[in-house]
Amino acid sequence: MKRIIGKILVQDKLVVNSYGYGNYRPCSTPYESIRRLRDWQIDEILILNRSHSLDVSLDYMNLFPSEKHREIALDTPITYGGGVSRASASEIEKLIKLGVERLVLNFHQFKTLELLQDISKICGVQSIVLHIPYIMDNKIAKCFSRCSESIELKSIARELDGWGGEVLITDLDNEGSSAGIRQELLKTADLFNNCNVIVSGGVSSSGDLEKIFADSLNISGAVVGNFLNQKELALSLLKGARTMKDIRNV
Amino acid sequence: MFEKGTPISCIRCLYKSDHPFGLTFHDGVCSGCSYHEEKNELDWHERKIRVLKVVKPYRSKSGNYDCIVPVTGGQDSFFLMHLVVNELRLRPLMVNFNRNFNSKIGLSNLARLRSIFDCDFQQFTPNPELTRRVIRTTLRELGTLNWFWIAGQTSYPLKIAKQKGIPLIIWGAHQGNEQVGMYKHVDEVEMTKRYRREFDLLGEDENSISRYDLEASTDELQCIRYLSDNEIAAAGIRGIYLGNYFRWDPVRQHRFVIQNYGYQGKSSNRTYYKFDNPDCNFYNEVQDKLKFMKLGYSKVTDQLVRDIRHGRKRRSTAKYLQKFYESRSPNYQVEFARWLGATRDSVDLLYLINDRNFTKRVLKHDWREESEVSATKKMEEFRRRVGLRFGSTSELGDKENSSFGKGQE
Repeated sequence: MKRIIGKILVQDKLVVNSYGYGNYRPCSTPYESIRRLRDWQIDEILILNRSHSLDVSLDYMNLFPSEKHREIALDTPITYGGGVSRASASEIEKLIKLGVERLVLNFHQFKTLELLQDISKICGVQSIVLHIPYIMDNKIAKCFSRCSESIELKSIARELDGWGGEVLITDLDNEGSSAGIRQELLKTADLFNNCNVIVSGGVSSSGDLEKIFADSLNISGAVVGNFLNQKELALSLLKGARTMKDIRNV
Repeated sequence: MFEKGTPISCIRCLYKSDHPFGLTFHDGVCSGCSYHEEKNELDWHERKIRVLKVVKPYRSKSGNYDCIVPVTGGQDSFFLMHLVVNELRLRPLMVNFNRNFNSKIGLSNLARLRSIFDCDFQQFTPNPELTRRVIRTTLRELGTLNWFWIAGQTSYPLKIAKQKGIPLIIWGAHQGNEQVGMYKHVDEVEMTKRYRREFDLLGEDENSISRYDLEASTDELQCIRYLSDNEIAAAGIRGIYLGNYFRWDPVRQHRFVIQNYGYQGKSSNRTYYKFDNPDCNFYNEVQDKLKFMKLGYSKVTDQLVRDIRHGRKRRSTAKYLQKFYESRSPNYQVEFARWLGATRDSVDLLYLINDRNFTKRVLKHDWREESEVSATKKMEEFRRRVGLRFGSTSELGDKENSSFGKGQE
């Protein structure tokens, strides 16, 4: 099932607009952002928390002013990332009980099989999304990680292909751009033949979504970030309304 | 959005991390200063070509107006109209939501705007008694007297857009960008319901405000209703900000419109700059004091930050001016109380209940539960104890420049 995923990047309890995951601008609060995406009936919400602690369940609860406000997040599937790989099994269980359906881990956690097995026992391997941010280095896609050396995306793809969960690929250089997706992003998705791929990085028009969800590609989701904060009825525009007047027909 | 602990200060301007819009930092420089750095890097000729392409489909072929321009007697209205008429060559309909307590200079500016640009103008004046009733609630619950007017000024243009079939609304600058750099210029952020609710209206729109003890019915609040998503979609309404396409510098713009169009300003006790909001006697005075009590900084800080970012003031000079003006007493407190139908002491009470440090200093329970009489007595006691001065009750302000009631000519 093809789906559009709204990204909410949180830093110090603020939702921020992100440009290449390096330049951040304040934008909103988590509650207001989730509320708006819910009102638009977006398929899924991805919350990435840059200011995380070991208490991931507390981090999640602190995104909302109160328990009553947190109920708003129950209407739409939530995928949460930020500190999950260092959280204990009990914390992850609490997070799931709070309504989070899927968890995001950085790709190099794939090597920590014990962690993956623990999480799989709690919520199933299909609830895990491995995040692979990449940059282009002399026309070669290399996975970016602060914790380890950069590795060619091709070799990661060989290891992860068919692993059971989903893979989220982010074009770091183009993240936050309003210029549209780059062709390299679609080519990297092609490297994964046997698992579902979600793409992210520069999605800002219906033309981008048409390219992403073309039948020949194995992409199941597209993450949209900054663009959803920039326009009235942004999601409808993404879904293919050529003009604002067409929105009622989408 | 207050953070616990000491707020971080920007190394360039005067803003801190507890700014109500939120602020991010990179190497000690805040996101607002980063946004202003972009102004030196962009190709503004290319941006102008870009906006001409954006507005092209909206040029009417049937003799209708090309766009709607929301105006006031202050701020950026003159320069906005100059850009729309002379640079973009559009035929606008000016619209205004009457705030009901306009200054004489504001009314004069509005009249001049209409005659100089020779464009059609449409205004809505809400019932003044309704205005007072809503303001009493928003003062008490949100600490602002501007909520009702902003709700109207941001929703009325959409109603007219729908009624008259004019889908394009043109605004000046995006406040979130100009203050804290929420987006980049090239993102071309547009008017959204979310931003209006969250920032313009302090988290409460016309639907949620009724959860307070509002002295107004839902029907009465129809005058400030924002259109639904379906209505906006059906009418194809879109609101753009010219600050994304033209290098925005309000001070330089004010100099231009003073020279070319006779725009007038008005002095205030609480700021050195007289050309922002001269159309409202209370905005730079009582409202400004309320802002200071709630947030810890005033409008003069916004203006000083603007001057720092445009290279007109040094940070050290700005800090001195900030301290000087924030300590000054507001004008028109008696007139405001009279207009609101309240006592002068009530104004002092408003400052107290909106003081973000109030509970730390004095209170052990919620002021809102007190009757006005016992609250006034407590306030006097508090005054004696801490020696605060809110201004003499004999201050009457500049009567010649005062205009109250419907605010119509």
